[in-house]
Amino acid sequence: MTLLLGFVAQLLHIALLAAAAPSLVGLLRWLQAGLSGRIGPPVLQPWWDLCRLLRKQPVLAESATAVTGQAPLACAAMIAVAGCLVPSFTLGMLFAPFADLLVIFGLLLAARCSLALAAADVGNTRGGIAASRVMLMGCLLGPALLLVVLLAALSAGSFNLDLIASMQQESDWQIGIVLALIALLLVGLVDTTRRETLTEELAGPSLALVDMSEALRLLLWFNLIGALFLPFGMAPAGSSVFAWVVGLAAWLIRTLLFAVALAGVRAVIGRIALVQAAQALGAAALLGLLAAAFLFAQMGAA
Amino acid sequence: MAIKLALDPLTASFLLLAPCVTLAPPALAAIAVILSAANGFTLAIGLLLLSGLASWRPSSLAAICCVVALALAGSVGDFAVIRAVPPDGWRAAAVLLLTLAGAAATATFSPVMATYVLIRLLFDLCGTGQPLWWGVPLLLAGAGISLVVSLRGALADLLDVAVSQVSLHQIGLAVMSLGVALCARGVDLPSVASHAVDAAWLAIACHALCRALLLRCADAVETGAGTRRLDCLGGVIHRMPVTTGACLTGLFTVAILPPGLGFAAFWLVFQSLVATARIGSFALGVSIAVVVLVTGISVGLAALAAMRVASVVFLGRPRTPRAAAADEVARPVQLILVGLAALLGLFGVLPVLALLPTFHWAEGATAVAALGLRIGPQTPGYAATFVAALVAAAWVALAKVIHRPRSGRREPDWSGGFSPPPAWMPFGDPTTQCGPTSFVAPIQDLVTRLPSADAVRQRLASWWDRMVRAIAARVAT
Repeated sequence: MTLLLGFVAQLLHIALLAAAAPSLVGLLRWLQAGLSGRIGPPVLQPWWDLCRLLRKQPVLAESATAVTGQAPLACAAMIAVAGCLVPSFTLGMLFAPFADLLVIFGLLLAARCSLALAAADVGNTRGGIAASRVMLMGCLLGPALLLVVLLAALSAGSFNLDLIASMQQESDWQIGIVLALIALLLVGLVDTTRRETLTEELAGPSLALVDMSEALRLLLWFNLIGALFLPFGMAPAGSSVFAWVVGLAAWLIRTLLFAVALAGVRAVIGRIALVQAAQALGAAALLGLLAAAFLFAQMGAA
Repeated sequence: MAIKLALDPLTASFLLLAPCVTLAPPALAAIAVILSAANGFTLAIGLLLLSGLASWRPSSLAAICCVVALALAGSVGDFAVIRAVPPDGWRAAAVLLLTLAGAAATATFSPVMATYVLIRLLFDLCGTGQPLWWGVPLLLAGAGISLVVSLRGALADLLDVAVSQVSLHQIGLAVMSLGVALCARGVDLPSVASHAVDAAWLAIACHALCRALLLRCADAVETGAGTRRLDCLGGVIHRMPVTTGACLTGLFTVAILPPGLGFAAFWLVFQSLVATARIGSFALGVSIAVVVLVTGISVGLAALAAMRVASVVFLGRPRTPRAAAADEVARPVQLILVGLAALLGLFGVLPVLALLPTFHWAEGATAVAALGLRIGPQTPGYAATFVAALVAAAWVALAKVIHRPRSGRREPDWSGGFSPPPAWMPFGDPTTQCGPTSFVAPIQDLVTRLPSADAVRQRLASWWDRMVRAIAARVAT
């Protein structure tokens, strides 16, 4: 029975991801435009864009290889798998035993590498530079991410996201957790910033795949931060359908709050340049280190 | 003093890796002597034989360090004596320092043998009953090695240097996990120590296989395209698809991406690192946090270095006519490359297979699970097979549902607004393509701002002079 519930929950989660990701991007654009005093595009515009791109005939550069065709697929597959592992409205989904934090971050890094290869495949300057910068950003993301993983695993005693979320539902907030949350918010803010030069050589279905992956990445970050630090209202493993409804409502509220906050931040600071991103990630790494020091001090005192 | 040989499970495990280290019969014989040495004298002879006359200085240093370390540990004549009564107090500290120096000297001609020296001397012979701090130097050294080699790999100008340095990142992880294993032994956590040794073995095996594959790929590229210089290559995928496929597999593994063998090793290293951090010691915890910070940078740098090689050498446009006319290597070499790449892929999806040799010396290889790795019977772990299957399924499903590459139209490349190349540049203007230097320009800028080794040495020398003079003046007054 638990297995069946987990299977149904997993299917629902995948459907929710597929349906919500492009809409979330549309909502963010609409909110950002509204906060900047403009009339934004309709919330469902990303859906129309995806349909338009999927109908288009693929166009490839003369020097493009199979990598240009396969890398967007690999990127989308990696992010889709990572998205399936991060819980949204309920714990105890079918893939929950495999939802390891390191695996999720590894899949995100692999998706990043796929995009870099796609950008570098044709061999023009802008693509190469974009590939270089996206990998450089990966170097800067690593320390803060691994420190947050260390903190989460130390607090919960496991790397499994489901176990961490269920422990977090019962535990109190400590200064280390707050610092880790700020660090992860900074990392998420930088990681979800779109670099258009990466996709200049892509068109049609390949571009649609990358757009969908970026939308999924955004939703994945919202779900990840929610599961790690704010899992309130999330239905426990093996719970009833009523608990799922409550979990769905909590997920919707959490996602909307994150979207409003992100739109506000983007409207205030504008486009994040590479130097600003590096500074933000450096600050995130230092916050992570500080959080670890607090946690070890508490563990030593206890 | 006589030559004494013995075959134990640790020796047998490392003998399996010997063909990945070298294929030259004299070097293989020297490796066999090192691995089966049962006393310090034989170990020293093996180290001297392996390096040969070409690098006698590091090999002599390694041999001297190992012999002195073993003498301090209790006996140069028989390993069994040291196992019975491990060193303690100042002798333990001296053994640790000398072994580290010996391993560092050995690493200049064989990194795999250096890790063997560390495992044999520190873990097998002297490792029982040592204090917690014994593992900390290895932990910090491993993190430092990972950072330095991945940085070198990212900045290298030659293909073989780049891939060799990036593959050494796994040796840094292995040293780090040996440090974790010693720390865990120091506080009586045998299962964590066992996981850490498993992690070290996975990292060493990953390094050996990746290095063998990537250096053969570099040889193949040099044979086919006539050079190893990164700024003279490019677009090799068009002419050498088999070599490219094999090399990309190796680069994927050293970039520590799931579901590769490198990621499996990293996952296990990180698990044991976190388990050790739970001991509760503030100093050790902060040290581990710093190690995690450095590891985060080094993992990102390793991925960057791997993608740089893939982008500059195999993708893009050829940078020279010779690269544009590269020829695929002979069929037997292709088979070797494909075989090594397939082996790496298999071990990535089923890391349990790579752990099989450790069953008899790493206290039962407790990290083994049905579909991957885990650190305890109740703990969900890393299911490499499942992750691989899920990614493959998603990839195929997306390709079937969305992607239609065959109906694609080819158009001239967009050169970013540059004018078309002149007729005497049939492969395009090289300045309109991102090269190996521009790929890592921000890192290069950062590194050039750091003081050089000579400047640091001069500063240290002047500081030392001032300190000696100050002490002398104080003593005189």
